[in-house]
Amino acid sequence: MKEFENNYDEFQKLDTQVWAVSVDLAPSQKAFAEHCGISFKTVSGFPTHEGAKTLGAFNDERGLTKRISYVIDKEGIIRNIIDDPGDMERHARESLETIKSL
Amino acid sequence: MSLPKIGDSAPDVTFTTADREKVSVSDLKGKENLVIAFYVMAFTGG
Repeated sequence: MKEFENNYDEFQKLDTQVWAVSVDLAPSQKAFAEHCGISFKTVSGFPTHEGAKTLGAFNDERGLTKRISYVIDKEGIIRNIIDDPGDMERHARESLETIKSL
Repeated sequence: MSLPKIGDSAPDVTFTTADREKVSVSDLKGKENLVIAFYVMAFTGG
């Protein structure tokens, strides 16, 4: 998540919120976020994980979220979906590029 | 269940923040863009 943190100023300047979602309970996410120095919102879908399921980001077998990012514009339209399990830097970079192109 | 695609209206999903506040995609409509980044926590570099 540090890749998003490194670009967070730019996201904010572009009127963009970043929500980091995992399967974990919100308080443990907060501790993790503080440990990593993350200043944007960490949010949780615990215990139903309905949001992750709706967005195809829940791995039923492992009970974990997948690494997928959705970029949604002010009108609520999905402008990009980054589905890449390996490269979190790409998630932050492509999200920012998409927001800049709006 | 078919998954949302680029160009679709985003489903109005809701999450809970660390302060137990509910946040929904529709809260930002007309106001701000949003990146929802799913990640796997802890010791993964994620």
